[in-house]
Amino acid sequence: MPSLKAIRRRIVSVRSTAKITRAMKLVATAKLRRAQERLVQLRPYAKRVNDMIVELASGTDAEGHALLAVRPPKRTLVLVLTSDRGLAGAFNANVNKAAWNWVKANQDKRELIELRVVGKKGRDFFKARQANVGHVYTDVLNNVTLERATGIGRELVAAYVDGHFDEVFIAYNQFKSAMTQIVQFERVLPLPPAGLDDGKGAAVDLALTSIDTIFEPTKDAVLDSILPMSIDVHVYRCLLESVASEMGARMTAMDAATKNAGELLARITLVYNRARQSIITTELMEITSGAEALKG
Amino acid sequence: MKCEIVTPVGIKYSGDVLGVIAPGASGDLGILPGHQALLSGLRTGVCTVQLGPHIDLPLVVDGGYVHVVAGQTVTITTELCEKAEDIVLDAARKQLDDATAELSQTREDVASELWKVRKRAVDLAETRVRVAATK
Repeated sequence: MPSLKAIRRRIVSVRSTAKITRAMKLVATAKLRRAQERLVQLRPYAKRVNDMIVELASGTDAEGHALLAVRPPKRTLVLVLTSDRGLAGAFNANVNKAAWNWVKANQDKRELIELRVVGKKGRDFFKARQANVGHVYTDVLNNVTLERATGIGRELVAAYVDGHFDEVFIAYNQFKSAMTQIVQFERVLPLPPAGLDDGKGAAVDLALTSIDTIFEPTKDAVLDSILPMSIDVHVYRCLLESVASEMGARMTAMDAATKNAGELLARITLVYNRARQSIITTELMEITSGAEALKG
Repeated sequence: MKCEIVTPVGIKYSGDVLGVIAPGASGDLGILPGHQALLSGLRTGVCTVQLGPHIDLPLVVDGGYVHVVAGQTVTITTELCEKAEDIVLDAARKQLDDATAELSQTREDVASELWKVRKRAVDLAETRVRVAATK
């Protein structure tokens, strides 16, 4: 049995760990709420942008646009969204593994697969596997802004338009609830012809689109500016989903850690009390036997 | 007609209006009920929402799009939309001075990216001052 002092030290350390995990859980809860709010706020905007694209694509000559044209997929870019910090359950591991499995399954079918990674966790994961990592963005998820998403989006569009890549994917954690995050692997470019939105938004009111819509300045000019913007909005939404997922995963993980610490504490305290009791018993025995001997 | 102004941080305005005057990419657009279907880019400027006779709601918009559907719905999609009460007039004036000074120091060509970015900052600051002054 370990000494009383050692057990006491252990209790103190477990207790302070529990304090940290509890605080982390509270912080994650607050941040989760904020991230969720931003997701909800973004939804109508994303829907409107999608409506406009449907209107544009409903015409005839839209397929000719560079961002809509489908080329045979030879060179592929995958953007993986991870966080900079750990202690968030399987948040990073899941998305990294999904992206890595996709790369391994598809690298024979393509000339080149390049990864661009958001977050230090993804960077470390892919560096360790010597994957072809092109660009790493850090300090993104702790402060997601539309500007940042636009920056990343514009680089994706530029790489696609230059012909460096024939398709662009994004791998991220979709936020369902604090308990569940689903890894998604979505195609960003080329844009699907119409009804970009995933599932719910796809039932766009086609009846609302009209043949004789006026486009100002011109239809091409509107397409040229709106299509890249829709990519930015897509990236922005994925970043916000990732933040909410990260915070949800961390909240759940830290909640479990706090509970485990509580159980551990109860167990060690029991051991401690037993050890203390046995010492007292031994001492009592020594005293009584000493007294017996004196009487002798 | 129905009007909705949507930004990435939420719906800024939604309701029935008499008309909307939007700063279109190629000139201001007056949109009244029954307007033909339209999809136009916006420049930085004041967007006036006519809530009632002689009741105008001036708003700052920084780029984006205006989408008229079936002559009955106007949707303005923009990254930034501010009401007069969102803006502190003195801060906006200072912003305008700073932006103007920066633009005047720009030696690059008028067609360069840097010049365009700074010109846009001046336009935005000017619009904010104009809208804030209507308080």
